[in-house]
Amino acid sequence: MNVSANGEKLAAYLADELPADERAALEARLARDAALRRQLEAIQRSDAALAALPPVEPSPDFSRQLRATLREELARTDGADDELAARREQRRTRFLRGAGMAAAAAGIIGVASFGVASLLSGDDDTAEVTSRLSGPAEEALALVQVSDTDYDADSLEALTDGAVLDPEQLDELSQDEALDLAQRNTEQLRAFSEPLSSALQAPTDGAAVGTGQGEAPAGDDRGSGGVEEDVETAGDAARALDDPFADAHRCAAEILESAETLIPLLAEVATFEGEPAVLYLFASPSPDDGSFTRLEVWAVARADCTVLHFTQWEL
Amino acid sequence: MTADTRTDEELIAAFVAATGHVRDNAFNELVDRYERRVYGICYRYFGDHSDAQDATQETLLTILRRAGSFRGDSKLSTWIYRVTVNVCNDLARKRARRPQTPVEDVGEFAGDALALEDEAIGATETVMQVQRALGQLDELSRTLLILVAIEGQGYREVAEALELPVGTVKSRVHRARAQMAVLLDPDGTAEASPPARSDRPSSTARPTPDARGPPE
Repeated sequence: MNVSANGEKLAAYLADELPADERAALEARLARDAALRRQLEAIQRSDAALAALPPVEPSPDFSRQLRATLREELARTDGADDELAARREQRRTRFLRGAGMAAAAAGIIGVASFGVASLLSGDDDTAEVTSRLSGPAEEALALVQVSDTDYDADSLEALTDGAVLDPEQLDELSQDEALDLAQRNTEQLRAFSEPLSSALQAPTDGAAVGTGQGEAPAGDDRGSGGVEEDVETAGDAARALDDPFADAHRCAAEILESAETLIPLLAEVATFEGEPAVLYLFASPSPDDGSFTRLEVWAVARADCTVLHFTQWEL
Repeated sequence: MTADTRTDEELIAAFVAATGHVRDNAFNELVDRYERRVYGICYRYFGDHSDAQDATQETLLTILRRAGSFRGDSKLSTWIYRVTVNVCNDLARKRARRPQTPVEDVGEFAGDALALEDEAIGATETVMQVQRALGQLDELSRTLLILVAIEGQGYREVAEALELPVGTVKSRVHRARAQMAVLLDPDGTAEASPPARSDRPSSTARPTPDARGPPE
């Protein structure tokens, strides 16, 4: 019997938590084994030292500062709902302006599936346009964001603030619900940018584009080389036009292809340590029981989807 | 002043449902009840007052922000322990690159810098040794020992807080106590070398990127 096994049994004995037969056997061993008795005494001394630890008090200064901080947070959260609504509106505005610029620059006509055709007419009334968005496009507004934040390794956890779903709520989902969410969000991440990415091929191959919901533009060959070929072309076009959404789609495809089921929670086009990047926040299954209790962040370079940083943590 | 006789669960419910002064009073009462307990756990976890302060503040801010998500399925204390442990583990991961700074300064424990009698110095050194030994345990063992052996919480509540089976909690606590004995008195546990840190990662250990890893 090794030390750990001995020690654990001795500790259980001292806590009076051994079954009667094991207790009797251990007492018989203790009677004849001096080294075992020394181990028992060592655990007794250690237990006593733990029990004798004095209580630890926070300093009065810290307590005062803590309460002040908590009061500030209470005051801040009073306006949180209004702020959240304002942030959502800002995000919609950024998206619409970004999508409008990219679409107009590519000469796209009628990307009707997302109902943004009015952007092409130079209509700047984003509220009116927003009201016409529906289905995947509207949901994808939350999933894909553009910001001017410069992240580093220490600030990546802040991405959880912008997630479409509070990661803490993932614990409440059943396995089926989690898998369904993974599928829906993955489709949104792909579906959102695909028509736009495909449409951006138009200047390269000269074909007309944007013929309707989910329909591939004329001249788009998805049969050979398929999505990857389209995406590379779209990527070139995207970079030329600075289309962050195509990059978000393109780099996500690489991650999702190599992974087990992930739940996309956010794709933020920003910078990482000064380099243009897309930062993805995913929920991934725990190796212990498959529940989605792990978060992972991928920071990838927009230029070529090179991984700049990867981190993961348990919720 | 009349003591607040509301249960913890009544206080959190009042905090969530009320506004203004009533809400603030409910939360202040909760902070009064739990600040020391949370601080004690955080301090024993890190062995450092600065980290304990950061973790305590983050824990109570988290409680404040997520109070609405407490459903009363468990005792409020259980939930607060869970949040405290998660905050400590998260902070430990962030600090992982920072070299371990074992507590050497007697003043850390003595409070104000006063001259100590020999007996007090001896007692303080013992405390330092115990704290140092705690710091050498793996995260889960240290957490369990703090909650059970120092804070005096029952196995069942700790199991619920950490979402572990009760049997696992008992076994790990006993093992941790045995490990502490070796760390505090390696000669007294003569026949074998001190036990290695647990081979199995703790349930809340930060996973290393798995075999899948980032794409090339």
